[in-house]
Amino acid sequence: MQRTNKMTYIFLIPTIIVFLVLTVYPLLYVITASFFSMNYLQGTEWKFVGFQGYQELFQDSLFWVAFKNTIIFVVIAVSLEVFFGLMFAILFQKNFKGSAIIRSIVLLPMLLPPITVALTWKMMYEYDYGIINYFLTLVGLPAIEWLSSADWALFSIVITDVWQWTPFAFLIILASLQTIPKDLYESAAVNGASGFQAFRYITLPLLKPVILLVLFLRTIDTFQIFDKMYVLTGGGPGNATETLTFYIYRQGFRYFETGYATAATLVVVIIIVILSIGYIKSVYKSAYSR
Amino acid sequence: MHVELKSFSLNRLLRWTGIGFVILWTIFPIYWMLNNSFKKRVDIFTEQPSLLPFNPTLANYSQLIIEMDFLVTLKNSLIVAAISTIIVVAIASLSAYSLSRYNFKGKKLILLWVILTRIFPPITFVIPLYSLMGSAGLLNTQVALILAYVAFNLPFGIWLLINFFNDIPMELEESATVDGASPFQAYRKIVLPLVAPGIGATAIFTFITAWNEFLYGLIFVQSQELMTAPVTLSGMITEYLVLWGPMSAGGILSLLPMLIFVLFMQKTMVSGLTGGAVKG
Amino acid sequence: MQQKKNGLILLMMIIVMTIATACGNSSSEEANASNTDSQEATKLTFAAREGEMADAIKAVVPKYEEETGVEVEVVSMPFDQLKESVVLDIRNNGGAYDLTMIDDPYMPEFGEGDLLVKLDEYFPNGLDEDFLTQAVNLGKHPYESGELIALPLFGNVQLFYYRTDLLEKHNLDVPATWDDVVNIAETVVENEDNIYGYAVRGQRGNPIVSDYMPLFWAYGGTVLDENNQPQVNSEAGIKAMETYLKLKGLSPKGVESFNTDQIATSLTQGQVAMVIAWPSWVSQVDNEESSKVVGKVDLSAVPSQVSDSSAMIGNWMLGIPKSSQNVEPAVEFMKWITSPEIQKEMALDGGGAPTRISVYQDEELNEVYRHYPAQLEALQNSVARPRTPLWSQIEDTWGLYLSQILSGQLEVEEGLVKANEEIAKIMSK
Repeated sequence: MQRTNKMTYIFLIPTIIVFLVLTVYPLLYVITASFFSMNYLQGTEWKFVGFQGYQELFQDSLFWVAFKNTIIFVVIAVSLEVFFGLMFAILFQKNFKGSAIIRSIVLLPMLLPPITVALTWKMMYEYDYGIINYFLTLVGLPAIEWLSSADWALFSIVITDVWQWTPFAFLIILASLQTIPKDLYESAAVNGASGFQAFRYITLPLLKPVILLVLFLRTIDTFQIFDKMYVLTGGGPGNATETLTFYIYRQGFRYFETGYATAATLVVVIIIVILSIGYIKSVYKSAYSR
Repeated sequence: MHVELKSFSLNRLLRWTGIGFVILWTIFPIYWMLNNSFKKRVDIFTEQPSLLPFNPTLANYSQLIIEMDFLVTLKNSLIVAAISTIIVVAIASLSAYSLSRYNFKGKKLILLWVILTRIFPPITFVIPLYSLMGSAGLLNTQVALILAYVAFNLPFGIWLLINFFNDIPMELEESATVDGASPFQAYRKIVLPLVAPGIGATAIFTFITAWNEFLYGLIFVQSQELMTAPVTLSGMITEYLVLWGPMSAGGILSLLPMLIFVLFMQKTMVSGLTGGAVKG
Repeated sequence: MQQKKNGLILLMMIIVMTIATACGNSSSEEANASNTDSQEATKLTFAAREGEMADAIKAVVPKYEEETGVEVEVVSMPFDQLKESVVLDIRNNGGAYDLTMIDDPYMPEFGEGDLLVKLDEYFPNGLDEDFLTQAVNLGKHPYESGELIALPLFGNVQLFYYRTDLLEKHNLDVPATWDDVVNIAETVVENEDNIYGYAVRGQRGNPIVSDYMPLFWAYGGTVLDENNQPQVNSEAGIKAMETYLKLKGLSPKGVESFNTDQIATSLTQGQVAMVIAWPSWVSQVDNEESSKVVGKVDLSAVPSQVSDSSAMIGNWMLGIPKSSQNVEPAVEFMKWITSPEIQKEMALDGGGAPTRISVYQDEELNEVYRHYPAQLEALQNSVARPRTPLWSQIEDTWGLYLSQILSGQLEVEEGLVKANEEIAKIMSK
């Protein structure tokens, strides 16, 4: 590792400027506001309330429902996305004629505007007019109340999210997969390892860092999920698809209870930081290990 | 030998079945959107869904392009996404290089700060950013959007690119510096070409995010002539009805430029991620 | 040497930044240019609700520009985002909008927050009597008695849609009470294949509240009593919910996530016999391009039960944000767009429900819109949603529990008691 020199700072100047200008004030604003009671629309004065906002938050049963739903959603969606991403990557690993085009096709869902993704799935999930139930009944299966049953709704949104974001995991894992030297597999085959053993003992360990990266990035993004609930179910039926960001959105932008909404935000941020602390630490380590 | 051959073709069969399923799964919703973009409202919801538009109409596309000026909207999206991508790449590569190469006080802080902005849900920054942009007189300009997208995509760029720089042996620049090159020359002439693929990947992800961003696009820009595509598309949810046809057509039109872009960048994307991702 | 290189890098960075800002500037210059223009030739920016209403406004605006030389830009936005953008702009004193549409239940919030220009001085004699009183009251803060802060722009009110062909076929009368509705729906479900008796609009939040409220009122319920205490779990509330659940049983499957679009779809596809809906759907129902039941649907005021028919009024109001720099030209525009001639024009364009009695009685319009007598009657008997700045929160909370009852997560009484407790908490904040 080279020692510090002037270049270090000069190279960092643009980033530091951007962040000083664009993020310091918002961060301070959010943190400060969380200790105050203030309604933005009513223009009420900032009243210092200490941790009262946090206290009210923890006493609101809807917040805990949102918390539970979000955790369930993140765990299922992110693990499915990474799992399918890995499977897809293995399937498309070999180069063949037209593989570039087919791989691009697999990436398509990620490129679509989220609002059209949500609306198109909403159309397909319709109970009577939806294409999915049509196919189900065609093959003799019972139709499902995808969005209107409290048992299914969250899972239906998981499916949509997995459809849209598996390509992200796929792309990053595929890239990493292609860097694994071929001779590793050849020598394993010579030693009589089965295909599964090669996967288990060669591929997976080498993919571990990139899988962690994808897990990290997807966890952050999935925690913020809100647009799909907003379009597909409005958080219902009942509280079945209430999520943390939806909760924050309503508090902050329908009621403009800015103080309370920022307190909720900080709680969410702290949860994400706790969940990803291991990952952040490992990056710190690798950044210093050189 | 015979057995091996059999298992080989079984593998092949399984693999191609798998590929078939993946393609079907991926393409069907998009096909459904395409199909609906050629239908009138009365034909979109029918008891027996039709897999082909049997009364095909271009009305949705003409409504979108002529009445809603969607091509102008796409142009706006392109400008904002392209410029913010260029800035993100320029800034993120410099910073990632520095963070990867040098040890200094405050390095941890910068890394944490950078990722923290990404962890905050973007909606929570709307109020403070709005007043910030307002006091700088930037509201209702594309600059406001570009700045916001830069701030939100920089973290991803920096965290991804650090991995790429980490993979390049430091000896390369050290020998160059010994030969009398300045650190910046070493960076530009030797290191930068080696991480070109990583830069491509950062560019693509930044571009996708900026292209599809909705919230800031809506809040920071008020004039119809500066509006970006996701904002126009969200307007398809009108007071009483969702304009399914134009919405589908808009999704398809908004996808086309991206598709061309991705086909074009496919190679960079895959090989680009290769370098950095290994280190995670 | 070293110094020189450093300078070079800085230069490069500056270039990048300049390019960036330059590219952005081209547009900001345009925007600035139009701002400076506004001092010479006035330009008004109008924040409108995306959809047919904004289209109707856009259709008449050129006429105004021609008559007065004042340029009017109509910016249309989705429902929630309209409120967000306008509030942000006013609070930051941005002055981006000179006119804004406001959904009537938000009026107390806007009034209480003092976000709109007070209009009494511009209308010293009040609004003329041609305007519907029910609509004008919504624009006063406090409701009915206070100062004028907005004009009624579009006069929406819920109406009851029913299939005349089905009623005739089974020898049934047009329903007068909710009991009738249940009976007719049962008859339809028993005797018809693939046609349901009713469709509830059950999505959580605003949809289910708007759909349930007419029943709640018809059974004699009041949301807030004279002491501002919630009464949603009253006897009336429970009976209304029980009827609502019966209607759900006679509705297509999946109504727990139905919003306006699905209601329109099930009606226009001929799947249901009766629904509560908004008047501007008539154009959809009567249009071959979007409907399979052209000429088979009629509409009336919403049925009653123990109380008289009580449809929910849902007007769109027109106000001037406090941050506007062009208040006087905006007032002139307001007067113009709410005038009888322009209301008629917008109505003919298909997007605007008028707020003036004379326009509802206009012969030419009555030939085009057969529902105008019913709509006028409904408006004159309409009830406004509770007038409190906390309405958004009450509506969301109530809607959450109604949705939980509808989807079977909670029992009727249990759910309504909880809803009442939560609403009481909101009121005591």
